[in-house]
Amino acid sequence: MGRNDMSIKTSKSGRIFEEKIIDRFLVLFTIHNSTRPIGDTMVQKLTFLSALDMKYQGRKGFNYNFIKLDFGPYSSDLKDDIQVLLNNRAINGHYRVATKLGEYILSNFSHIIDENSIFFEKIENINQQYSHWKSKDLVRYVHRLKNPEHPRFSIHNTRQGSYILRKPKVWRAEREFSLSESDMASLEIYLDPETFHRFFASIEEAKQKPAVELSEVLDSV
Amino acid sequence: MYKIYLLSNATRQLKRLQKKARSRFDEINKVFDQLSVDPKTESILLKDPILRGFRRAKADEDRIRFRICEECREDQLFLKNRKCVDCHGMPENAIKIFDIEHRRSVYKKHKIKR
Repeated sequence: MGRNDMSIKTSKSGRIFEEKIIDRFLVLFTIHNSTRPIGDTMVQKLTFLSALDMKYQGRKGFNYNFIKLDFGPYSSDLKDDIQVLLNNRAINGHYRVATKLGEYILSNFSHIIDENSIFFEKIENINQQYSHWKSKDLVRYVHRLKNPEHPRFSIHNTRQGSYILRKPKVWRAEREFSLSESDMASLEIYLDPETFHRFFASIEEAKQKPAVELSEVLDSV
Repeated sequence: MYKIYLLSNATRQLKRLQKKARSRFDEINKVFDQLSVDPKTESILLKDPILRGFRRAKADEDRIRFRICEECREDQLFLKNRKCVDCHGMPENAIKIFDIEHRRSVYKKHKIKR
């Protein structure tokens, strides 16, 4: 046990809205690019390895905090994002695969992948190297790595609940993931289930119900 | 000047804000004023094929998603697939608000759907 192990930490990183959208897009890419359908433990480990490499190279791509749990690095924000992608039907299956909608998002926003290729190349490399591994082998491998927050300790020797990797700071990053306002405006619909369902319900509603003029709405209150 | 029309979803949201969150309601009204003068420069055009033609404007904490009727009529594909029921009665200078969304709603935890 080390000195880094004072209390159980939360893996919530307090991401701003834009960071959430970027993370969801990157996770969707990770799942789609994997060499086979992968479970959530594998998604957690692959994302951790990509995030770790990005951080070492001064790149702000993923914005997750990872803590140590039984199966190694874990982020509750990442777990939430997987659930968001499932709710939105961008991925499905117990072993996650991108759906047609997921593929549509990735192909229609492929210019984002081109503009931020250094981030996606990193994910591709990690996926190529590790995504065909068995989950338990990858868990074992990750346990043997040094804890990036406290390099004197391996992840295995880090206490449960301690930080392993923190969300990169903007001012420390040499390169940030970039997203135009227009892309953000579209992705926030595709990558947020509530917005997605309400917005498309409004489109359907427009086919059936007439709209009301603003002055009438205000008068009626 | 453009006239602003709201679908029932947006109407509900606006009425709720008028009663419960006056500052947000005022912000949205300010944006409506700006949109009625120049909707194109006050908003972002979505370019994705499915969402194409929709625009988004920001009102502090809220997002407003809308279409401009004259733009919509120029877009034949949209007209063919998603014609609004009141299209014929709408003037050229109309803006149709589809959705008003509070930005903070995206921070709510998403529950598992089974």
